[in-house]
This record gives sequence, C-alpha cells and structure tokens, in this order.
Amino acid sequence: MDVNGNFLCFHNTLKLEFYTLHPKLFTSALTNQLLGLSVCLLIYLKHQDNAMSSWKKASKTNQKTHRERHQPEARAHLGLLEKKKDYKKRSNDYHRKQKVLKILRKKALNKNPDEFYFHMINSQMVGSRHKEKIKPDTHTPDQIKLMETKDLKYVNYKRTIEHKKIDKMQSSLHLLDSANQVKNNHTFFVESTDEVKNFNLASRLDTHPMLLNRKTNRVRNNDLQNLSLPQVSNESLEQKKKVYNELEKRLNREKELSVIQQKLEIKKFLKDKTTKKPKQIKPGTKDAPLVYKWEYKRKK
Amino acid sequence: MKGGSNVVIEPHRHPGVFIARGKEDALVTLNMVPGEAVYGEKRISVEEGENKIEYRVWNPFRSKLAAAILGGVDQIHMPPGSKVLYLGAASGTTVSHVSDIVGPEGLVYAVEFSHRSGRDMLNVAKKRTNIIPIIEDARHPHKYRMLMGMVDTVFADVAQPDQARIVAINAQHYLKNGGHFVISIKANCIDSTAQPEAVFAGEVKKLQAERLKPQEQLTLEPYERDHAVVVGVYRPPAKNKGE
Ligand SMILES: C[S@@+](CC[C@H](N)C(=O)[O-])C[C@H]1O[C@@H](n2cnc3c(N)ncnc32)[C@H](O)[C@@H]1O
Repeated sequence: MDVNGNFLCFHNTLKLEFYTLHPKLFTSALTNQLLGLSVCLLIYLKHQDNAMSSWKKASKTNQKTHRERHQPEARAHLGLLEKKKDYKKRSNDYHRKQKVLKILRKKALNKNPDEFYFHMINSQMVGSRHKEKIKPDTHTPDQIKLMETKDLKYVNYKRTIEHKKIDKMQSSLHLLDSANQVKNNHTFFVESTDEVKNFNLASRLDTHPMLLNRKTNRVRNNDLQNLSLPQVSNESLEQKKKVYNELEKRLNREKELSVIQQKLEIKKFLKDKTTKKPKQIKPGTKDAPLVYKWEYKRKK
Repeated sequence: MKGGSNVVIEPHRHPGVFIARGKEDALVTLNMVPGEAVYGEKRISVEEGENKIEYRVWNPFRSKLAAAILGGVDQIHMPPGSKVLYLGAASGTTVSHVSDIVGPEGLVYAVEFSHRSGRDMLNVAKKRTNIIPIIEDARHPHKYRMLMGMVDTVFADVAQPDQARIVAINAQHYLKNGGHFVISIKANCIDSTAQPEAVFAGEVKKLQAERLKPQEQLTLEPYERDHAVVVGVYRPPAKNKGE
C-alpha cells in the first residue's frame, strides 16, 4: 500500500492474492466485494512504513512522476517561483542563523563585565576589524644554526650545479670572439737592440697586418692565398648567439651565488663566540662580502 | 643547403689544428680515430665532398697548449710528422690532441709518473699507435732511455717548482740540437707569494742558464689566470760560424 492508501492487486503465479488495507479504507462495501473472491487471504496490517517499504518502492514503478509547476503566466510579475530545493536551502540557512543568534543572546545575558579573557590582549583592531596578533616563531640557537647551515648548503649545491653546467657548455664554446679582445701579454725575445727597433709584429708572425687583432687564428701569409671558406648560414649564427646568451646568464648567476655563499659564510663565522671578535677591514658591497680579520691563534 | 653551411672548418695557423665556426665556436683537431672520443669530448662531423671528416673539440679551459694556441702563440713546433716528448701527460687528454696534430707519421712520447693518471693514458695509447706511454718520473730521463729516440720538441706541463731543471735534463738526453721546447708555467706552482710576472722572468732565466733559449712568452688569458707558456729553441747552431 502506498502513501495515498491506494489499493494494489498483484496476481502472482500461485494465484494468491494479497490485499492490504489501510484502516481508513476498510469499509464494509469494499470488504463485501473482496470476500466474494474464491481464494482470498485478507491481511490487515497496521500502518507501518518500514514494513511496507518494499511495497512502496514497487508501487512507484508505475506511478507518474509529477514535476513541480513553474510560475503561472498570470503571476509572472512576481518573478521565478521558488522550488522546494531552493526553499530548503533558504530555510536551513535561516534556522542556522537563528540558532547562532539564540546562543549569542544567551551569552550576552550571561556575560560578566569584570571577567578577563586572553583574547582581549591577544587580538587587536586593524582598521575596523579584530585581528589575532601574530606571535613570532621562536627557535633555539641550535635550530637557528642548523637553519643557517641549510641555507648555506643549498646555495653551495645550486652553485655546484651551475658550475657544472658552465663547464659543460664551455667545453665546446670557446669564446673565440671575446678571446680576441681580452688582453694577454705576448713577449718576444730578441738578440739585439737593433732588432727591437725594427721589430714588426706582422712580419715576425708571417701574417697579414689586418689579422693581428685576430689572435685566435692569425693565418700565415702562404696559407692565406689558398684559403677559401664557405659561407656560414644565418640560422647557425642565430643558434650560436642563443647558446652564448644562455652561457652568459649562467655565468652571472654563478657569480651571484658565489657572493651569496661568501656572505653567508662570513655570517656563520661571526656567530662563533669562542673566538675574539674580529676586526672589520672592508665593508661589504653588492658583489663582495665584508672582510674581517680574526686574530691568528695557533691551534697546537 | 640555403644560405650557407651550419659548420665551417677553418684551418689554423698551426698545421693540424682547426677552428669550427658557424653553429660551433671551438678549437678542434682532426680525429685520428674517427668514431671515438677519448675523454667524452664533443665530436664534429663535416661532409667534405663525398666523405665525412670528424674533428674533436679541444677545450682551452682544460689544456694549456690549446689556450696558448688561441692566445696567438707564434710557434708550437709540432708539425705533422714531428716527434714530441710530452712531460706531465696526466690522463692523456692534451696528449690525444697532440697525437692528432702530429698525425700517424709523427710520435708522441708521453711521460707521466702518477700511476692513476697513467692508467687512463695507457688506454688512450691503445687506440693511438703514435703515442708511446711512459710511466716514469721525468726527473730521471735515463730510466726510460730504452723507449726513446731523439725528438724535435719537448713539451712540459708538470706543474712542479723544478720544472725548468726537469726540462733541461730531458733536453740533454733526448732533444736534438736546434730542437724546440714549449713549457707551460703556473705561477703559484713555482712561487705562490711572488708576482706572476716575476716568476715567469725567473723561469726564463733558469732556462737560459740551461742553454734553452726562449723566443717568446705568452700569458693565457682569458682561459687561465697567472699562467704563461714559454717557447724557445735548444742549443741553436751558432749564427756567425755558418755565414
Ligand atoms: C697540470 S697536469 C698536466 C695536464 C696535461 N698536460 C693536460 O693538459 O691534460 C701535471 C701532471 O704532471 C705530472 N707530474 C708531475 N711531476 C712529474 C714528474 N716529475 N714526472 C712526470 N710527471 C709528473 C702530474 O702527475 C700531473 O698529472
């Protein structure tokens, strides 16, 4: 039997028919009809939902599901018609707030104006709002020391990585253009002062005077005549420029890291209270750490 | 290929040495054993006509000789076919490039006293027939006389304070008259307190005293700091006599 108290009639294979009746509907007229059936078992059950749930579910299988109606056109000016789903939300929210208000009201009534709360000193007004005061984290000296060495180790580690990458890149990028510009000393030993006077670098090196600035390869005069080099493609030059850019960035980063490393090391040494306070010799700059001098003490 | 090639090989002033340009920017030598790297260095293959030619990149940040070549040294005295005595061969990285330069007609006697480095060098020599590995102290050249012949050039990079003397006794034993020497000097290996320039000058004096006549001296920036290479001639034939 379903909620509406409808009659249900099942004809199973055994031709056994069960009728369940709601007490309200157990009227004499009906019973008279039913009792007229040949094999009939009449069961009267008290209205018990749980015992009936399987019936209930079964009954719904051929029940038409009604959808909630929408706002009739005549009332369209009132806006969308609220559905049950929306109503539940609104209602739950309302009741929750009511509960909170009730608790607050109770608390306000019970409040003792002379009572002390820690929150009075642990919070503070920021703008127009209460905010918790943030307490600084505290560490033992050992913890601080450890954290600082961790920083130093991390910087060291990063620097080693950078260094390795640079090494790898430089093994096949030989900075030929900048090597031509970097100054180095080239001394020639000669026999007499006369030779010094008449010294001509181009003829001594047996090369063209135009090549003197190109020290990475000052081709000899003889070879210059048979030298024929194919054109270099533009893309390959672009490619080269790209890798050199990367190399430059890495070199800068490595330098930066090495300065940081030195600065952290100095900081660490200054923390050491077992030695006498060192004298500062040079102030620190952007690319060099402070320089201190410790008193030299023989260990043993 | 449109617009030129990606890698161009430019012959260097010193025969046997080349420079790769274009996509690359490196000093290279012609690989005598194509298809094999010696110490993990990069190889560059270039098609020339029908056949492929392979070059090996020679890192000037790791090799004093390479740094000197790019620094513009006048002479290295290691033309193809020459015989070179190399003192302080270490693992044989530079030696392998010298072996490329002198080619199959030439010879490199590579002396190294540390067994550990010597082992790597022996492996290099296995693949390259023009290297004769010698695991001995270069201070006692008579110990390896059985393996040696006269040489055209002595190269030394032993990084020892008595390097000049080491070169001198080796020259006395094995360098032909009028042969050449190329030595690399690391200033703080000789005297770590003195100015590098002073150290170089001191070394030059010592060489002169041993009849090793310097002809040029070159510092190795930007590849090395406080390093110099000195090139010179041993017992040059007297000039006036012949004329
Ligand atoms: C600076 S390293 C040479 C690096 C090598 N020329 C290169 O560019 O690959 C110096 C080498 O000389 C070796 N050495 C030092 N004293 C020596 C000696 N008396 N006899 C032989 N080798 C020596 C050392 O063992 C070390 O491997």
